[in-house]
Amino acid sequence: MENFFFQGQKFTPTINFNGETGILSIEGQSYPEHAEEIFAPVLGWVQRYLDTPNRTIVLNFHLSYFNTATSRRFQDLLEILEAYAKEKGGKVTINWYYREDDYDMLENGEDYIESIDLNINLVSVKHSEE
Amino acid sequence: MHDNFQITKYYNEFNKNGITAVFQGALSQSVLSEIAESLKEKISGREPIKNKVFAIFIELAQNIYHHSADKKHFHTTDSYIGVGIVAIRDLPDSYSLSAGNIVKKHQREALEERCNYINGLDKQHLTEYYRQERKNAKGRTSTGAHVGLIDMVRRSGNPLKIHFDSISENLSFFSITVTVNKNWQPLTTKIKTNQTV
Repeated sequence: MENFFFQGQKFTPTINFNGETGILSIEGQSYPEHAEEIFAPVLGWVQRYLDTPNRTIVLNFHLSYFNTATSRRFQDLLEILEAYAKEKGGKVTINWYYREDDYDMLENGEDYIESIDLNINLVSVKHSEE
Repeated sequence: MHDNFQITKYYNEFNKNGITAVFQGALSQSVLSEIAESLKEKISGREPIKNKVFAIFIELAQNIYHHSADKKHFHTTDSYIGVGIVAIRDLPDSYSLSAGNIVKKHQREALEERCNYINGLDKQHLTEYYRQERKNAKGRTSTGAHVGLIDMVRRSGNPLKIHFDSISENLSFFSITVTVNKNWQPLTTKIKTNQTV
């Protein structure tokens, strides 16, 4: 399947979903006023990708900030992956990167761990490596 | 008509009150981004404090964009954008973010009830409420997550200060202030980390 790529700007994230490797990544910052418009094609791509069962997927969240409207789209994305793991034999790993002193981003990750039945790793990143 | 507008009055008033940035008008995406990104330069504090001010500013401004009862039509994008005022103040011990916009009667009642409820929750219940509300957002709205107000309290660690001024029987001016303490420290130091890069 073709890859999905969206070049982020100031208020939109760079989204890079590789159909061959199964590595999906969302990076940067995300605070569009209409998050639903930005994420509709992303969710559409993922749904088509998941028509094929038993895929191995790694989803990397590497963001410095996202607004609450975006957080709802992440929830939608994770729910789609949760259903795929339960019903279609998908092997799904989520890596949630946060800057070591960014407790709000850490809490955002913990929110998803509590809300979603998937393997979500919290990965702390040191300052200097950014 | 005699025009006695003096912009120096505002300049002096803003300086006296530690205003870092203020904007009145339609909070379009480009205006919002410019102000938000410039805050990263203007706020001299620690990184977590900078991030909090940035995040709370965006939630406040986007609340105006979506919920202000006063909307301006933009021909180029054929969209309606909420009008209001936002101000960020750099005070000795805190950054104070204020926003104001016109709301309708039913919005006022809902806002009063919601803010009072949120202000009464401790950290743990706030977290649970946030997670629950985001899950429930699907059936309610097509845009937001319905958690902006909760998000601001979680980030700031301070209650929302709200005020309403009646304009007419059906309209009020809604003001909200969120404070970020400059000496903010995380409540818990427990960090559930699986890996460190």
